[in-house]
Amino acid sequence: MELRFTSTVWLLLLVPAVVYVWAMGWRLATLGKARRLTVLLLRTLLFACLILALAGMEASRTNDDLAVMFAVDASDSIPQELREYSLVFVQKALEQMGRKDRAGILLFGGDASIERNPQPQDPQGKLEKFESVPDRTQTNIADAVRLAMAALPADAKKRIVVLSDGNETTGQAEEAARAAAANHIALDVVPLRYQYRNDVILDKVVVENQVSVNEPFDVSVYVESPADTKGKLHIFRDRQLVATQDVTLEGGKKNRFVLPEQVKDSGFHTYSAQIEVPGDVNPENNTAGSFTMAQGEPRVLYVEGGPLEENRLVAMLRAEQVQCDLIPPENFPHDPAELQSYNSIVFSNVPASAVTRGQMQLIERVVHDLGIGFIMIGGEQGFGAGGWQDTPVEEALPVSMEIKHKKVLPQGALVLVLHTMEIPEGEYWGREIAIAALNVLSSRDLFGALAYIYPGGEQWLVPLQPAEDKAAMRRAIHGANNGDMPTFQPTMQMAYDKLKACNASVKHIVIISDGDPAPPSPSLLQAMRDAKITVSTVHIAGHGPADQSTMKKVADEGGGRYYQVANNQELPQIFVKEAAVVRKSLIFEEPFKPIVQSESEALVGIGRDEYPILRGYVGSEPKDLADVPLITDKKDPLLAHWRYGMGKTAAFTSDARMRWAAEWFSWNKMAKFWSQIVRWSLRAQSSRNLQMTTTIDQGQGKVVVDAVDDEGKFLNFLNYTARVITPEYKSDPLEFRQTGPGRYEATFPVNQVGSYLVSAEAKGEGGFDDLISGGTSLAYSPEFQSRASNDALLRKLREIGHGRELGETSFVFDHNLPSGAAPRPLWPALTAMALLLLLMDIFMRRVLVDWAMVKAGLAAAGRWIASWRPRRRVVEREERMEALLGAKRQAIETKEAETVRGALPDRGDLLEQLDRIEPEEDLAAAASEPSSAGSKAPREKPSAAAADEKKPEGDSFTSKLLEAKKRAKR
Amino acid sequence: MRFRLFVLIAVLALFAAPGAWSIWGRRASHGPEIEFRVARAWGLPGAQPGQMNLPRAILPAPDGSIYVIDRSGHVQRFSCDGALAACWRLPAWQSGTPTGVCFDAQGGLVVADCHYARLLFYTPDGQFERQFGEYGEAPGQMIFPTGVALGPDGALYVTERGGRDRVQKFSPDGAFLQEWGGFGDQPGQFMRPMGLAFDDRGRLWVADAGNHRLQIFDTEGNVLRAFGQRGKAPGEFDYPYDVAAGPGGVMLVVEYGNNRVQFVSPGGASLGVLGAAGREPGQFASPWGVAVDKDHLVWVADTLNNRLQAIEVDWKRLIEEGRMKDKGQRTTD
Repeated sequence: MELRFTSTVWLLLLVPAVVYVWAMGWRLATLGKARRLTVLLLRTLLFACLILALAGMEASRTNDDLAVMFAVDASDSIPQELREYSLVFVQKALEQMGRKDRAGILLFGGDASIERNPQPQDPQGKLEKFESVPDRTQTNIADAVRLAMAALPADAKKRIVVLSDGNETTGQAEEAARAAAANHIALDVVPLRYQYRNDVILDKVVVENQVSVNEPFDVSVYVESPADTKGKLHIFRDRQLVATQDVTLEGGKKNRFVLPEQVKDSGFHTYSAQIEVPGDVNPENNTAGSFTMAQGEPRVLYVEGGPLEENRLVAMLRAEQVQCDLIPPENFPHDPAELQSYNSIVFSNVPASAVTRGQMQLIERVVHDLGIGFIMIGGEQGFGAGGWQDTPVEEALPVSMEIKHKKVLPQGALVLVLHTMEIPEGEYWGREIAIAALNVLSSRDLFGALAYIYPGGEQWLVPLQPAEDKAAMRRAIHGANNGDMPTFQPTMQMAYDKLKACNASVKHIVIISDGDPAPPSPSLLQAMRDAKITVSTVHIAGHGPADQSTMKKVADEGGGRYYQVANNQELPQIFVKEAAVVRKSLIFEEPFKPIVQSESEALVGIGRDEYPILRGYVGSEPKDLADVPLITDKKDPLLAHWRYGMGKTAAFTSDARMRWAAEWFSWNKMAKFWSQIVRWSLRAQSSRNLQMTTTIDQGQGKVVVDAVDDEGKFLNFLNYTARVITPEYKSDPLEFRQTGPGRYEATFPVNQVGSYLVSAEAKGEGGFDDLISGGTSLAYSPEFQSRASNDALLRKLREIGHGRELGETSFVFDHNLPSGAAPRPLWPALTAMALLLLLMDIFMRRVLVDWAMVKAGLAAAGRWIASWRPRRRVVEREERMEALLGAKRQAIETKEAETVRGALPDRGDLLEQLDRIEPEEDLAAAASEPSSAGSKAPREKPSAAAADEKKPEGDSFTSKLLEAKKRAKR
Repeated sequence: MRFRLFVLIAVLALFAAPGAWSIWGRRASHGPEIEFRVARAWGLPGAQPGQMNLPRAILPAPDGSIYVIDRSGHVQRFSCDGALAACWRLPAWQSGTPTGVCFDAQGGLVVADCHYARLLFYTPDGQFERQFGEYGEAPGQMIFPTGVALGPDGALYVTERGGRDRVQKFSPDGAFLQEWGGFGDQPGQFMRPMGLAFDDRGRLWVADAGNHRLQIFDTEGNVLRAFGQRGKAPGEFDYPYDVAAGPGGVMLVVEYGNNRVQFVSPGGASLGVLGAAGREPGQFASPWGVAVDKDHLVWVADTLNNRLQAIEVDWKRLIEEGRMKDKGQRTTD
C-alpha cells in the first residue's frame, strides 16, 4: 500500500494544529484529568484527519502483476516470412509468462481487433495461429495502441509490445504513444525489418480527363526503380492490351514514358499500365490506371427490370436518335467511373432489391454531383411496390413512396422470426434485415419480430404493431440476446395467433434461420394456409441437406419463397423484396385517362386530350418543390420531375410496357413523349473551355483545371463549386485555388483503392458557366508503396513510450515498471472519521456519565429482564402495603389486648413510635423477600439489625411490637 | 418504560424483517428447491485445446475423468478438476457438433455425430476405430442423431430428429434392429428427442424436448409412460435436453429452457429442481447435458457459460422421497 498526497502543502498545518489543540486545552480544565486527555487526543486526531483530507491523501495498492498486450501488424506491407516470425515471437513470449502475468493479443491493419483478451497463462491452450482478420489495406498503429490501452486491465503494470514495420499509412502513432506514456504504459517495439532492393513501382498513369473522339492525346506512365534495369511496359485501353514496349529504367529517378493515343467511340475509357521487371519482389505495385471521357453523342443507360426481350421502349428511343444501352439490373455498374459514360439513367420496373444499397447511393451521388439524369418508370415492381422507400434513390426522385393523404389504405402485416445465433455476426445481420424490412413498410403497416431469447424463451422482440417508431423497433431487435431456437413451433404459433387476429389485408411471415430447429406441426401450417398467412424462409449457413428440407418444406407449405443464402450481403435485398410483398396495396390497377395539370417542356407538342388511357399505376406522393405535369384520375402523380443538385430526375408511375401502357404503343406520339422526357433529363455537355487532369501523388489526389475562353485567352478569377466522389460513394467538397494564369488546383485525400470522380462547375465574369468532370483511380493500397520498413518511426515510438527494442532473445515479461494502479482518494473516509471524532469530542465534553448509575441501571435491567413479571411486582407491592397496614392494625389490637394485662405507657407514644417506623424500609424489606439474592437484602439486614440495635434500651414493649409486626408480615 | 421497550422491539423487528424474508421468504416462493452444493465449476472459454466453446455433450469416465464435446469440434478428457488429459478433433464439425455420447460394451466411446448422420467409435484415448450410419429416413439410416445409449441388452439405442423423429436400435456393429417413433405429439411420437438413458430397471427414458416431456419405453419400444408439459412448476419441463440415471433409480433431467436440473422418481414423480438462470456457480445458462459419475456427483454441461459444474446432492433423501411418492401412486410397470 502506497500513500500519496496530491497537495502536500497542507501537511504544514499539522504542527500548528496540534499546538493549537493542546494550547487550548486549558479550556477543558473543568473536566477530569482522564477526560481532558481523551478530549485532547480526540481533537488532535480530528484535526489530523481534516488536514490529511485537505492534503489529498491517496492510497494505491502496489500490484506487482504485469499485463502485456501484443499488437501485431497484419497489414499487406508485411512480407509473409515476417508475419510468421511475429507468430513465433508471440508464441515464445507467451511461454515466458510468469504465473500471475497476463497477456493479450490484438491484430491490426487499417483497424484493430482483439485476438485474445489479457488473461493468465493457459497451460493447455497453445496459440496455434492468429484468427482475427483486420483490414489489411492500411496500417494504423495509433488505433492499435489505443485499443491495446483500452484492453489492458487498470490494476496492473502494463506493457504494449508492437510488432510492425513502422509504415503507418493513416493515424498518428506518436500521439497514441504519448497517451500511453502518460498512463504509465511502457511501449516496446519488435521491428519487422525488410528492404526491397529490387522493387520497381509503377507510380501513376496520367491522361487528360476529357478528350474528343478521333483526336490524338498523350498517355503518360511514370515508373520508379531503385536501380538501372530493363523491363516490359504494357498499356491497356478498356482492359484490352494496346501496346507493349521494352523499356529501360534508370535507377533513382522517375522514368516517364509517353504513349500517343486516340479513341474512336465516345464515352468513358480506362487506361492502365503494367510494368514487368524480372526479379521484382513486389508485383502488387506494378499497375496503375486512370480514365478519360470522350465527348460525343449523349448516351442513356436503360435498366430493365423485366425480361429484356419484351422491352419495346428502347427501340423507340433509338429511332428518335437517343443512344441507349439496355442492361438488366444485375449488370448495373458498381464503379462510379463507369457511369461517367452516360448522361442519363432510366430504371424501368426495377425493384429496390435488384440493386445494392451502395449502387443506390452511387446513383444519388452522380445525379447530385455530376449532373447525370435519372428517370424511374413504374410497373408492379416500381416505386413503393418495389420497396424504394427510404432509399437514396427516393431522395433524388420528385415523388416519395409513402402516401400520406389517402384516408383508407389497406395495411399489410409482416412478422420476422429471427434465429440468427449460429450465423456469423448474426446479431449484425439480424439488425440489418430488420432495418431493410422496416424501411419498406409504411407507418400504417404492422410489424413484429420474434426470437428465442436466453433466459426467457420464445418471445416478441417487437410485438405486432404499426411501424411508427421504427427506430425503437430497430433498437429492440439489436439489443436482443439471441439464443438457439429448439423448434419453430412456438414462435410460429405466436405469429399465427397475432396475425389471425389482426386486421391486415396481406399477412406475411419471414423466417431467417440456419435450419436447425425442428419444424412446426402440419396442423399449424394448415391453419396458416386457411388464414391466408404466407410464410417465406431464408436459409443461411445450412447444416446440411436436412435443414434445407425443413425450411424448404415450410416455405412450400406456407406459399412463400425459399432462399438459400451463401453470401450474407444478399440478405437486406431479400428482406426488402419480402417486405414489399406486404406493400402490394400501393398498386392501383384500373384504367384511367391521364390528366394534364401543368405545362412542362417535356410535354411540348402534345395536346391535353391526346393521352391514351393507362391501365394501372403505383401510388406515390409528390414532393413540395416538384413539378407534376400529369396526374391520374385519383389525383396521384403520373409524371413528376425536378432538379436535384446538378442533375434532373423524373418519375413516371405507370409503366412503359404492355401491361399498363398497351394503348400507348399504338399512339403516334409515344416516341415523342419519351424522347422528350429523356432529352430533358440529359446532363449538360461541357465545352472545351475547361480541361481537367486528375492524378494521385504521395497519397494525395490532385486536380488541375486549365481554363481558356473561346479565343484561347486564359480565364482568371473563376469561382468553382466542386465535389469528389470517393470509392465508398461518399461526396466531399473540393476547394480550388488559382495557381497560375488560367490554372486552378485542388487536392483531396486518397485512402481507399478504387475510382475517384471529380466534378467542377466554374463560374466567371460575363456569365461564364461551365461544367467539367473527370477523375482517377488508385490501383493499389498505400501498403504496397513502401520499399523498406520504417525504423525511424519505431524508434521514436519506443523512446516516447520508454520501452525497449525486443528481439528473439529478449525477456518480454520484465516487471521493471512503475506501478500503474490508480490511487484511491481517501478524503471521504477521513472526513467521515473526522465527523465521528467530532461527535465523540462533544459527547466527551458535555455528557456527564454517572457510571455508578449506569452500573445500577444495567443491573436493574438485568434483573428485570430475568424476572419478566412486571405486573406481579406491582400487585405484590400493593399486597405488601395491605399486609403492612393489616399488620399495623393487628399490632395495635394486640397492644390493646396487652394493655389490658399490664400497665402501659401512654398509648399515643407507642403509636407515634410505631408510625415513625418508615413504611419504605418495610416495603423495601418486603420487596427483597421474593427476589432470590437481591443486593438490597444484605443492606436491609444490617439496617434492620441497626434498627434492632437502636432500640434495645427503649421500650422492650416497642421492640415486642416490632417483632409482632414482623411476625405478622411473614 | 414499558412503552419504550415496546417501541424498541418494534423497531428491531422492522429492521430484522427484510433479512428474515430474504432468507426464508424467497425460498418458500421457489418451490421445492433441492439443497445442493457446487463441488466444482470450471471451464475457460475459447476454442483452443483445454478451453471450452459451448460444451454440449459430457460423459463421466470410470476413472473419475470426464469427456466433453464442444462446438469447436474437440473431444476432450479432463480430470475432475479441469486439467486436460486428452484432446482430439472430430473428423468434421463445421456444420454442427454432437450432443450425444456414451460408452460401448468394451469401454470405448460412441459419439452420435449429429450433423453428419453417423456414429463414431473411438478408444478411450481417442483412436478412431470405425463409424457407421448414412443419411436418410429409411430404417437404419439417420438424419440428426442426437443421443446414444448402451442398452442392458448390449444394443445401441439412438435418438434422432430432423426428418423422422424416432428411436432406433442397432447392434454394436451397426446392424439395424428396430425403430419406433415419428414426428408428432402423441405418446410414442417425438418432437426433437434429445438425450436418453436407461434406468436401473432397464427402461429407456427419452427427453422429448419439443413436446416438453419425458417418455419411458421398454427395450421393445412399447410406451410405458409419457408425462410432462411445458412449464416451470415441478413436474413440468421446458425443453428437456438430456436425461441421466442417478443412484437408487432416481433420474435427472436437464432443462434447456428452464436453466435447471430436475430430479424424477422411478415412477415419474418430481423430486425437486435445482438451479436457475445465471452465471454464478449453481446457476446455469441454457444447459445441454447432464450426467452422474461414479461418485454420484451430478455433472452439468453449462453450455452458454462455457463451463462444467459438478453438484453434490443428498441422494439418500431423494431416494427416500422417491419411494414415498411412488408408493402413493398406482404402479403400471
